[in-house]
Amino acid sequence: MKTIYFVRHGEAEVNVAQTFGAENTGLTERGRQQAHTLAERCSKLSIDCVIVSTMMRAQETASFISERTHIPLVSSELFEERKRPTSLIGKQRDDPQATRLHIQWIDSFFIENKRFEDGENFLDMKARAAKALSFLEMRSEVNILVVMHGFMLRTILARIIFGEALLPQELYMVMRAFNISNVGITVATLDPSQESERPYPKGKWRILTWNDLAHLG
Amino acid sequence: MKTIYFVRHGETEGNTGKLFQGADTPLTQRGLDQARTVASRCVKLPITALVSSSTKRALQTAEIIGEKMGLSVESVDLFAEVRRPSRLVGRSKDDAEARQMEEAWHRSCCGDGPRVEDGENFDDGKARAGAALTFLENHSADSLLVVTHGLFLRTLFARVVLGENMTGSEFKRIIFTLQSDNTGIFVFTHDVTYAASVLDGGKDVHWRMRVWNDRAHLG
Repeated sequence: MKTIYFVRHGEAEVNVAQTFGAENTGLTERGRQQAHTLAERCSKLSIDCVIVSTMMRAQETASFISERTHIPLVSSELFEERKRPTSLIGKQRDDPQATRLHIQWIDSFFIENKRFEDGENFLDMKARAAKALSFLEMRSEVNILVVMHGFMLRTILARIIFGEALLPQELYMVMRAFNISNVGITVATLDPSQESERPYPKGKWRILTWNDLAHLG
Repeated sequence: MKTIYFVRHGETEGNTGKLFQGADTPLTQRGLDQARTVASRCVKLPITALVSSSTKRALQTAEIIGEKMGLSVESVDLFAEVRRPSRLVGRSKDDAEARQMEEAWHRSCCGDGPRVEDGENFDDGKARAGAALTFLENHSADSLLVVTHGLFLRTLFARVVLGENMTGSEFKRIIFTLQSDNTGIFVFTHDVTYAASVLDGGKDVHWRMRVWNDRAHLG
């Protein structure tokens, strides 16, 4: 059985900025503090490898973990955040025109057959979540930590719960009900021997813990 | 904003033993230790009211937490475990006929088969989960701790995710994917959000799950 620890990056400039998607920004001072606390907690877990999204806020968070634990980092684009439409980047959040475009893009995740310009949509995210799960299944390590992003992590979770048949409205329900915090720890296990549809849909993936924040006090 | 800290009861003989569990099973020594451990964590939380399922294993866990926190326990039937057929209680898990009945009951809990005698089924669990959420929304305290049970917690959560129109097939996906451990901590909030999707029409008051099965205190 494998154990995967999914972690959302520390608070980043993009989380507090007044503009849409200054994507390649680093952590705030608070985010660096959170990453430091997270690294302390990770040092108590037995982890064989750290997979990290190529985005700067995830890389910076992971650097605290590798400094503290000396566990090797492996970068992967599969765990990046949803890709924003180019035309939105840098627009002010309080600009009504930009807000309308933003809503059109958000709806492309929750309504069938919608796409907004060059931004990722439901099918892109669902396909990437499936690839990310296969990637983790193929890794030889037993205990893996993944440093990544909030929307993508919840897409992976929705794909675990609802499987290949995942629908846009189910993704919407997951986004609405599952709250995720910076540096929250989510624990999943992978046990291919558990897979069966009868009498119950026991998948090979299970969610043990969602968004554990005990290290933040 | 309303915050609910759910705690699943400590370990019982029914969780580990060879018999199907009923309402009167007490905590094991390990379960009592788990309750003390989770209690010392609960004192750090800003809780003003303590509610428990009226079932023995939950009440025992809640009494230990209440003593440590200086809070009295409000016993509420709504938070009891999804009820097995009474004819199953106390029978051996090795008894083939009893096992078959347990499976039929599980199917009825997922909306996949007929009700099994006096056991609760999918519609009962869904209705009780809805009533439990309403009870919490109307409770005078803004920050409560509720001691309850594994299957009922997952039913409650499935109801939060899937809403009042939840179907058995979606429900199954959630309850068989998420795990709930003895004395795990589960945090739900009821709050206004301003979601950026037309599906919400802007302002939206709803339940969200912030933490599921935090077991950091169990080492």
